[in-house]
Amino acid sequence: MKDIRILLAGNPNVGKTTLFNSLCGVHQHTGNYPGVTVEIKEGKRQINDHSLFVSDLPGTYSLSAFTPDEQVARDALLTSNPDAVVQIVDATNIERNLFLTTQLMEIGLPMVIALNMSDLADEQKITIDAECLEKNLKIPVVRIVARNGEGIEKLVDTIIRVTEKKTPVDYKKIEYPHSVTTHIAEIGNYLSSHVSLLGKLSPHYAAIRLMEGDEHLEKMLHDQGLVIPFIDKCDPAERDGIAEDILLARYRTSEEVTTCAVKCSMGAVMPADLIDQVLTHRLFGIPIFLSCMWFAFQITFSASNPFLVGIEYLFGIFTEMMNGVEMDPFIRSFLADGVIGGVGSVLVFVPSIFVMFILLSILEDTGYLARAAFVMDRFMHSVGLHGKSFIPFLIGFGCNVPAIMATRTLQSKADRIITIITIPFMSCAARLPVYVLFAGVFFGAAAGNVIFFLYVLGIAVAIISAMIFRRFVFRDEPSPFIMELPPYRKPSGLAAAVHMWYKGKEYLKRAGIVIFGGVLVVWALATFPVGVEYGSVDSLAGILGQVFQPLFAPLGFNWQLVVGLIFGFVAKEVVVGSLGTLYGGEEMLESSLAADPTLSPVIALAYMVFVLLYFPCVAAFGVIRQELGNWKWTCIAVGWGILVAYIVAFITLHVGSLFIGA
Amino acid sequence: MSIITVEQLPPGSSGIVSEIQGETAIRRRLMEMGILPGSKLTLVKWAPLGDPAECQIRGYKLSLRRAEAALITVDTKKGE
Amino acid sequence: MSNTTYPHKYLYGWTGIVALSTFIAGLLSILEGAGIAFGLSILPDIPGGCILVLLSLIFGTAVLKGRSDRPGWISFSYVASLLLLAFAGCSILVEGGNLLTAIMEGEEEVNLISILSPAFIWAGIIAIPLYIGVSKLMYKCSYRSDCCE
Repeated sequence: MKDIRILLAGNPNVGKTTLFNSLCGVHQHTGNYPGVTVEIKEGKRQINDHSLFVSDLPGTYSLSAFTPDEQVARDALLTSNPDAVVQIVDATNIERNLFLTTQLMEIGLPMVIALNMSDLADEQKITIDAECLEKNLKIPVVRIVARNGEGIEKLVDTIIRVTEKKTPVDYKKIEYPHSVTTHIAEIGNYLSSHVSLLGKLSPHYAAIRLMEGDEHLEKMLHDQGLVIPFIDKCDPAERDGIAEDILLARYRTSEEVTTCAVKCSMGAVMPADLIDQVLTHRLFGIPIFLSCMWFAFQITFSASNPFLVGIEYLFGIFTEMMNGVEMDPFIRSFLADGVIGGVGSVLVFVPSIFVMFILLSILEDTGYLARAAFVMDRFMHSVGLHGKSFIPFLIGFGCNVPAIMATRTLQSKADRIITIITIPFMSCAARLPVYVLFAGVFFGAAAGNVIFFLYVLGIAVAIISAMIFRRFVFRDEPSPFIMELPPYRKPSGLAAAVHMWYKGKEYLKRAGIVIFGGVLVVWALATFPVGVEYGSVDSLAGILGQVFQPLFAPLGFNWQLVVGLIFGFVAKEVVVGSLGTLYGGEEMLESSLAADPTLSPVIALAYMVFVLLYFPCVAAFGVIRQELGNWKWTCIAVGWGILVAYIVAFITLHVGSLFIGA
Repeated sequence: MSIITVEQLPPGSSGIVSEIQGETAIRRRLMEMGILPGSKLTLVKWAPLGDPAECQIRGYKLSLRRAEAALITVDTKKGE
Repeated sequence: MSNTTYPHKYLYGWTGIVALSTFIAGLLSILEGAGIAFGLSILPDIPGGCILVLLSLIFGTAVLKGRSDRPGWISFSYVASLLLLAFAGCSILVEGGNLLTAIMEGEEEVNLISILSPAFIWAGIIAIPLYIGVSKLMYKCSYRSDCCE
């Protein structure tokens, strides 16, 4: 029995996840890492008397650690001391893939190259001499087709073989210019008397990393009081030059190896050229994108509807079963409104999250997502966001919860945080009942226009918020748009299903707890002190509404409206139901609202604005917490929403009363 | 003029990269993606709204915003 | 490869028919959606109709391109028919979902035929032969022998 820990490394879009799935099947889970979730998936494969533990690193082009993904990959490679590194190399684009190889092999870990998609390379008449590649790099190369599992057995055998080898690795050496080599030797010599500080790194490799400009390592050594020869005397411009010399030397090496191993390069016409001619067409590009989104939106919410109805049906049965059993009304309320209500709030989102992730995974696997970002980037960039943020925003009109989860496709931390903070301003379907009620009662025939105004207002607030955060909070975060447009590929149904299953499970585990807890808190507010009518004036919620009412007086809200806001935390549509209770019955609600002297059309408008902006429901709160990964940003996101809601509602009230008679 | 930036390159034409300017981080990133002095770069087209650009380099496709495209200088004479 | 001869003239001609039928399907959906009914069992769907008209424009572009630029015809008609078929599939899923919801909610008038009412499905059926033919050409065109001779 032997445990082998391997890391899967490689460029993005080379089929890493597919290989991971065929290596580990369903025995996988997602590890969580601090900060905004950049994840490393971990899985296991059992072969005879070996257990292979596989970690799937985020896709990276290099190890210089400019982005969070690269940092996670670098840290795993340099500090976790794996038994072997497997690099997946895309056979149709060897040169750029080998650039990463030149970085990986210097770490000095046992390594295997999995040459993926050799079937596609064959189709494109690219002949790859794997033996030549192997001889040249002195790294074992295995041809695989991750999509159908071809060559996986051989890959596993090779991995076991390299980990059992006792001799130290001896890969191809990169030929640096003479000046660089002497400095590397100088620094390496100095560092070899401080090996204990370097952790797992060899002095030679540490020297190369310092020359390449690894600030993290440099700072660590400086903190230990070391004065590094050459590096500390060098001016920044000279160091940049050296780092670029190293980079060029690496590319030269990969060019050299590629020329030897690849017998022909790509032809003039790539299939992607033909398809892109239409999909990113000057006139058709954007309409095609919007059509795809229209259908994605339709499917996410229509195809998941039957499951939703099914879930509701089951819960109806539960409630009925409980009604048949003799029990204390307090316990009954706890079970029916608290527990079942809480579980229900968690589950209602599951079908649309599942469908959304299947679609997103298909869009991403085919390569269309990158084109969508390409087409929309100009627009999104002008408000300080990334082209890829557009899709989460659209999904947000259906439901904020899957929308926030869809921000996973964004690589930059700043882009992701800004997108997550602004998504709740997209008016989700659950807010519509509130608008319908108030606009219907107070605006009559103009109700449609008012509702349209609210949607537009939400978008405007989102755009302004995004600009503010980009300008003042993330000013220094670079967010270049240097994005690969991957070749088009057939999506794999299995990959999409696996993806969906794990994302769904993760949602239940992480966000589910927060959502359930939130529902219980609101239930308690509505129920205590014991004996009051659920959600009435005498309940804690009612008392809180009356206590907080003065705070909302500048907005013109009476205490009933404030209580409604408290219940809106659970889900925005609950606002209507709770107002029903407070105004003595839902049937009477419309006429009682119209008759209430403390209300007016302007106040109703301010209230709708507030409901639009103030706080996403507790479910959205749960996923915001899950996706942002820390409470600081979660609180900023929620605080920002409430602040903006208050200000905009205030402005609405005062500007509105100039136009609409009080 | 045969030395121009990628931003000025007419869509569909190519050139040999001669220089990459800009801040260290962006320049380094561009180089890591394979845009190095001496590599052939083709500007395939601009996106429908005029930004970003789609380029072909080393047998794959890369998209760059106008700001980044302006940092890369190419020699169009040699590219032919 | 010569641009003057057309070994696939039937397929090329079919592109024109698909362009026309997709346009009609789109127009009918829009008209039904606008309340001008013809008594056809076509789903009233204004956004969907606009998407069909868009696709018909792409098919039309393919026809125009095909006169001088054969790869242009192939790629435009390939992508348009692929999108049309994908959208038709989506329509079936959406209508199926709505139908299932209606059944589960115990609605009285459940019409199984409604699954087939989106105009996408009819336009899609007409486009199937085009998709099959053109995707073969697309494959040849992408991986043709100009790589490694």
